[in-house]
Amino acid sequence: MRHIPDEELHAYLDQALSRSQCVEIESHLADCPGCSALRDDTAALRDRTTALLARLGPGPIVPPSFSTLRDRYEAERRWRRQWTVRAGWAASLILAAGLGWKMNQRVQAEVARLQADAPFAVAPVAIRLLRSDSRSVTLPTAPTSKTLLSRPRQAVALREPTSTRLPVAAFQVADESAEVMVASYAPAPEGTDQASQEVFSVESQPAVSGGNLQGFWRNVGVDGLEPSTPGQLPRVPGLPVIQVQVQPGEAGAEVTAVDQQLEDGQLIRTIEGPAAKVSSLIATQEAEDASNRQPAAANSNPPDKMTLTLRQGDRMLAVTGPSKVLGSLMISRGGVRRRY
Amino acid sequence: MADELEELYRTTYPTVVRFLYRRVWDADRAQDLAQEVFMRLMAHRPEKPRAWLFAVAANLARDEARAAVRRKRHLTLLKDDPVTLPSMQPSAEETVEQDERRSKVEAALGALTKRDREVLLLWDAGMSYPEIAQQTGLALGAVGTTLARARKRLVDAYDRMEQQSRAAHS
Repeated sequence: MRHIPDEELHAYLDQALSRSQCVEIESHLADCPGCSALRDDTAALRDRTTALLARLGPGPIVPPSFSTLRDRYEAERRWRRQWTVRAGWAASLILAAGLGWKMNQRVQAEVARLQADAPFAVAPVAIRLLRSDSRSVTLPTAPTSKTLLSRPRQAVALREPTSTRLPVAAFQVADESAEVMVASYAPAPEGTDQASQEVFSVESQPAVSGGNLQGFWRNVGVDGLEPSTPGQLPRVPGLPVIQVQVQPGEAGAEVTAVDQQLEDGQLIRTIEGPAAKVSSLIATQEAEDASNRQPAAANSNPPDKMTLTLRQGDRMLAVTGPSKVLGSLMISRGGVRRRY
Repeated sequence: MADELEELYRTTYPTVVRFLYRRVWDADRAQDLAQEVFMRLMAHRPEKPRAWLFAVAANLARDEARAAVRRKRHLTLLKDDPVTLPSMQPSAEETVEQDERRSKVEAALGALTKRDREVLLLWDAGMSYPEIAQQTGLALGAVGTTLARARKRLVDAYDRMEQQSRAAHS
C-alpha cells in the first residue's frame, strides 16, 4: 500500500489535484490511520501558516475608485503621447538646424548671387524680440584682410533670400513671453525693413559675455559680414546676433562662433567648424564652466548650460545655451509645459 | 472589458496590495505599486489578467527590493541567506505583543529562501498551483513540495523565535 507523500497532502488540501486523485487519496486516508494523522498535521500546519501570514497585513486598505485609477491611466497615456510628439519635434529641430547648416554650406555661391540682387532683413520675430527689449547691443568689429569682411561698416538689415525660405515652426521660450523662430528662415512681411534697420544700427557694449573661447579669435562685426555672409553664418534663426568670432585656419578649416542674445540677456553660442576643433573647444568650454561652478557648489547651483552637437563628416555644429531655453526650444511647444 | 477590469480591480486590489506589502514592507509603497500594476493591466489587457497581475506585481516588488538593497534598507528582502533583521530585535517602543508577533512573522518569512517565500506568498495571494508554476518556472509537481517545505520552515522559524523570546523574558 502506497502512503501519501507530504507534498501530495498539501496539494490535496490546497485543492490542486484532479477529482480522481482526490478520490484515490480519500479512499487511502479512510484505511490508513498514519496517513490520516499526517493529513491532520498538514492541515494544522497549513492553517497556521495562513494565520501567521494574516498578521502581515498593511493595515486597512482603501482602494482608490476605479474611475480615479482609469483617469490617472488616461492622463499618463496622454502625457506619454505628448512626449513622443515632443521627442519628434526635438529631432526636427536638430534636423532643421543641420539641414540649414548643410544647405548653407552647399549654396554659398547661390546665396551670394541672390544677395547681390536683394536687400536683407532680419526675420520679423527677431525684431520683436529686440524691440521689446530696449537694451542695446554692440557689434564689435576687427580689421581683417579678408575681402569679405572688410566692407565699410554700415547699418545693414539681414534678410534671407526669399527663394530659400523654409516653413516656420514657432516655439515658446521658457518664460513664454516671446516666440522664437527655430526653423531655418522666417519670411519677412512687407514693410518691416525700417524696423530691422533700427535694430542693427544700434551700437553699445554687449549686455552679457559669453565667456572666452580658447585660442586666437578675431571679432567680426555683424555689419562687417554683411551682406554676403548671413546665409552661411551658423546660428539659431530668429535670434539677434550680437557677436561673431572667427578663428582663422586653412581653407575651410576656420571655426566660426556666433553669439546670439535671448530676450532676457542670456546667450546662445553656435560654433561651426572642423569636428576635431569644435569638439575640443566645447570640451574646454565645459571644463571651464565646471571649474567656475565649483566655488558656487555650496549654493547647489545646478549646471545651467547645455550643448547640442551635430556632426556631418568632418564638420561639426555645436549650439550652447541655457539648458532651460534650449530645452524649451525643443520640448515646450504649443504653450503646454511639462516637467522634463 | 472595462466592466471586467473594474470587477477584477475591486476583487483583487486588496490581495495585490497585501502581496506587495509582504515583499516591500511599506503600506503606502505597496498601494502605489498595486496601482501601477493595475494601470499596466489597462494598457496590456492580457488574456489571463489575474495571473498576469501577480507576475507584474512580483517583478515590481523585485525591482523595489533591489532599490531597497541599494538603499541598505529592508534587509528582509535580501536573498537566500537567513539574515538578522532589524525587526528581529524589536525596539523599545515595540512593546505591544501584537507588534512583536508581527515582527517575528516578518523575520520568519525573511528567513525563508527566496524561492520558498515567493511560492508561499503567491499561494497566499490566492494563486493556483499552475499559476504559481508558470510564474516561478517551477514544475507543477514541485509547487506542492516547495509549499510543504516553505510552510514548515515558516512555522519552525516562528516557533524558534517565540521560544527564544520566552527564554529571554524568563
